[in-house]
Amino acid sequence: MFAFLLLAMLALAGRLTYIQLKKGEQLGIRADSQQQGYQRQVAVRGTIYDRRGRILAGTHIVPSVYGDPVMIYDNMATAESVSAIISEPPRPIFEKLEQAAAKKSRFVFLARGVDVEAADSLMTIRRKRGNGLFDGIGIQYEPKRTYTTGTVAGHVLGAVNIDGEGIEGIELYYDKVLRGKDGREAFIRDAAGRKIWLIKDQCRPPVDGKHIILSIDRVIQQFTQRILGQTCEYYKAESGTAVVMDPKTGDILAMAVWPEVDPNAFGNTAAEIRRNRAITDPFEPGSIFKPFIAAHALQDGVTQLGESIYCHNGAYTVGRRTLHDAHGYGYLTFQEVVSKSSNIGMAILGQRMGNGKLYEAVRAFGFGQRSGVDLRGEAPGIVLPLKRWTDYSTMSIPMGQEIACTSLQLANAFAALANEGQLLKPRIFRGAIDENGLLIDERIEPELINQAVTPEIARTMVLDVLRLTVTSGTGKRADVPGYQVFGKTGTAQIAKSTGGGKGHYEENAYVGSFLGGAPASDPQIVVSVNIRRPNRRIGYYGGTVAAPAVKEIIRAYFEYMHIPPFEDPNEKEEVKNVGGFDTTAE
Amino acid sequence: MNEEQTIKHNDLMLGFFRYQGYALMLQGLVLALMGLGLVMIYSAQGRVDRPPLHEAFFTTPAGKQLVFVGISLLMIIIFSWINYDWFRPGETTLGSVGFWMLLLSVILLIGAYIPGIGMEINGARRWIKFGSFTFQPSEFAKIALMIYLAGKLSQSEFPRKEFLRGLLPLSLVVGLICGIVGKEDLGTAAVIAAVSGLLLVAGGIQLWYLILPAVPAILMFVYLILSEGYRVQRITSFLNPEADPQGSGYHAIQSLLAIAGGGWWGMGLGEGTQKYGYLPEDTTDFIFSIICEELGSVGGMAVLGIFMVFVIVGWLIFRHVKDDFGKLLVFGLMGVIAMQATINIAVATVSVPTKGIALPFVSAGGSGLIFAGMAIGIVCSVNKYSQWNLLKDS
Repeated sequence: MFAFLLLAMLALAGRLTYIQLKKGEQLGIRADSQQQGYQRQVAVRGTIYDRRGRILAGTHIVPSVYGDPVMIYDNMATAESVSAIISEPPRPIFEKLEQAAAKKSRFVFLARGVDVEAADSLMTIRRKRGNGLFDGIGIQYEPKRTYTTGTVAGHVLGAVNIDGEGIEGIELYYDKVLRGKDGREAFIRDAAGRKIWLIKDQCRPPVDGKHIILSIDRVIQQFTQRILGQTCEYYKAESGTAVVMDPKTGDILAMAVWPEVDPNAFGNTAAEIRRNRAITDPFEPGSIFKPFIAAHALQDGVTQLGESIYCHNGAYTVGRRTLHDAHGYGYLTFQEVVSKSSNIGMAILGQRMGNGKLYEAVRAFGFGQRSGVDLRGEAPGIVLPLKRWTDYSTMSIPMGQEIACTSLQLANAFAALANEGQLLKPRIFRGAIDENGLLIDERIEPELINQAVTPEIARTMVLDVLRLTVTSGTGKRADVPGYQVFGKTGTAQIAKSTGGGKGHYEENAYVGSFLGGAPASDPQIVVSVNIRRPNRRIGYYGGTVAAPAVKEIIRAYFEYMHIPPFEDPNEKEEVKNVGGFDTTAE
Repeated sequence: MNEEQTIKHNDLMLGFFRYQGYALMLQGLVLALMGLGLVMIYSAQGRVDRPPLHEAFFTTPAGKQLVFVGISLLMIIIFSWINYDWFRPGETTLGSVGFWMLLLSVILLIGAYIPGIGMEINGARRWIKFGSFTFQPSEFAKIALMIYLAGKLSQSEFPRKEFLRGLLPLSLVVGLICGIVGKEDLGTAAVIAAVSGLLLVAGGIQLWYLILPAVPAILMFVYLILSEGYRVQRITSFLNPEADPQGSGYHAIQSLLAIAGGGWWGMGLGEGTQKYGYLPEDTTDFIFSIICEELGSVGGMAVLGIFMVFVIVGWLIFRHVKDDFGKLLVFGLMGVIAMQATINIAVATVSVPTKGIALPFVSAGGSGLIFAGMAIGIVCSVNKYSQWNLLKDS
């Protein structure tokens, strides 16, 4: 027997040798693959701050429940047990497990972004019960993008998809900066999928994304959105946009679109509403376009302050075309042509300038080209090439027809007038904060695009012409006592999508606009408000619909900035009398 | 003291010391195995979620094993001091220790089947509850049966050449024990049956007589295999483990993965990964695979080498012992332990179908360790006292 046992043991030693020689390699690889696990280490997306460091979009870490079908004995029983704890229906969980099992996948998310307490209790129960229903169930912590103030600046911020990739707005434009780089964790796991130790040389730490500071001011954005919303709702408008800018730097302080969008529920919002209309939707501006042409008329010397222009009592026929003014005027000064928004007066100026000069004026203020704002999807607007301009154009362009531009382009061109004629590149990005908390890539110096008009002319336009619109012209409702509001009203008909010219406009469909700024002596903000398709019976003139909104925004702005009135609002305002004409008459 | 007395006295003393080297070697081998077992159990019990050791060390397999090793060593010391003559059958059946031990083990074996006393672990009823301890009666029955058989076969008046009065009663006893054990633990039953058969031959039973009880024994063996579905599966999955890698072939595949993963020199002590829930019974039946994973196939061969030296020492003792009872005791007890080790390693290396059987002195488990210690103690006692007993009687 002793000999037999010795022989048997020798045979077993041989068997061991055989295993090593014959099967070693193949089996060794299998042991590795069953025991090595990999997990994505998600890089945390950078935070988006407003210009004063308030959080607009942040990332917090939420637990998600995942399953490993290989480790689960009974998918239905496990689905039911898990669903009871995280209080979600078991059926979808079961189906996800079945699908993953069919694909032989070893990782499937069962519920994303679950309650932290539910996740904790799930893991506690799993630990206590040991091998049981919760084998193969795990928690992975994932970053979740949260827009802390809901709809505030929703259109500017855009949104991310479920995997944390920017799909719209700032989130898309600065996706690379914000996103960072995912890492990977490699580890040896036990049979239930729990980590035992790391495989150090296969691990890669994640690199978090950088934070971004915007030029947006959350408070200004908030009241701008509120005022715009109230206006649109009151006039039962289709949509509305408002842009608030700092003319000295080109900073966009607020950019509002109504109807509002909540980036937290971006996926559930219609594409129609998600669009940032302030930059994507060009429209025919109408009368608010007049100041830009008027400024160049002054610069080109075809007119001068105080010149009397005969306005044909409201009906002016050139060839087969007859132009009309809302009110018939005889003689109007140059200032009054703008402040009372005379189409006929502007057409006459246009005729004096000729198409070439008009085209220069239009291009000088940046129309027909993208402003270059750092947002995705900006439309360049429509300015036809000069050779396609006709005699019609000579009279249409000065009153803001045959041309299309966005709210942002209008605000920016108006800011140029307020900024001594300097057309700046509008911007929304002020700087980024890197992983060490240091400010990088800061934008301090404004970027000059073009000197749109001479500083003197720009100042004259603001102080003498546009201020007059608010004090005695069509924009009286925009005035905020003491703050020298200046501006221009506009009521544009909406062109049919087939193309320009009279008779090509929709019946009773208007955009009521106001371009404003304050104070005239040293402009600090410009505001563009455009209300599309207000209900005609409630009101549709720019001076009725948009001017009060601009007034509210300007008033709220100075209140927020703690800037006292520049003049005593109780004192009767003394208006400069230029050229001996009584500009306050009428 | 006259000259004759002096010579006899010297011979007696020599009997004590002459072969003491064998006992020391045997105890050294056992100590080595126990030490290796402790280390490997400590390693194999590693779990991701096990509480820190200082909290409950003595509830872990390694902690318990440490206690059992202590008791086992005590058993070796006690039984090597007790003259094995004590186990020799007396004038009557009722006067022999072996008989009573056998009777007790039968009662305990049956007790394991009684609900309330017996305990089921992993679907097998092999244990008796004993307060907070569990006790595996088959471990005791093995030793008791060997002592009983050795006693019977060494009696000079035993009619070993006859079939009816000689072989048949002993075969029935072996059959009874194997039957009760085999119902739940076929591997142990096979070890007992094989060693008993060899013991009967060594005890003088005619070899060809054994064919007669062997036929029903084999039939019973086949019946027991077929009576439990899992045993058939184990055999089919042994032939082709890949057919059901997550089911009946799981043990075999995971054991091979451990051995292959370790390579020749092993992943290093404590570095193995198969113990993390992949290889079941990692501290008990499949501890050999864990040894191979962490210490390599070279380490596994070292364990085989220790058991081979163990067998050789057993043979050396067997050779020098002069009285029949002592010889048969050494044969049976060493045979049972070595046979069990062989089958365990054969299972771990997937050389035979999977069976739940422990590696003596290494696997975690109290009953096996304690009674294996008792067996080693008795063997040492035989080694020490056999010459003394012969001379004393003369």
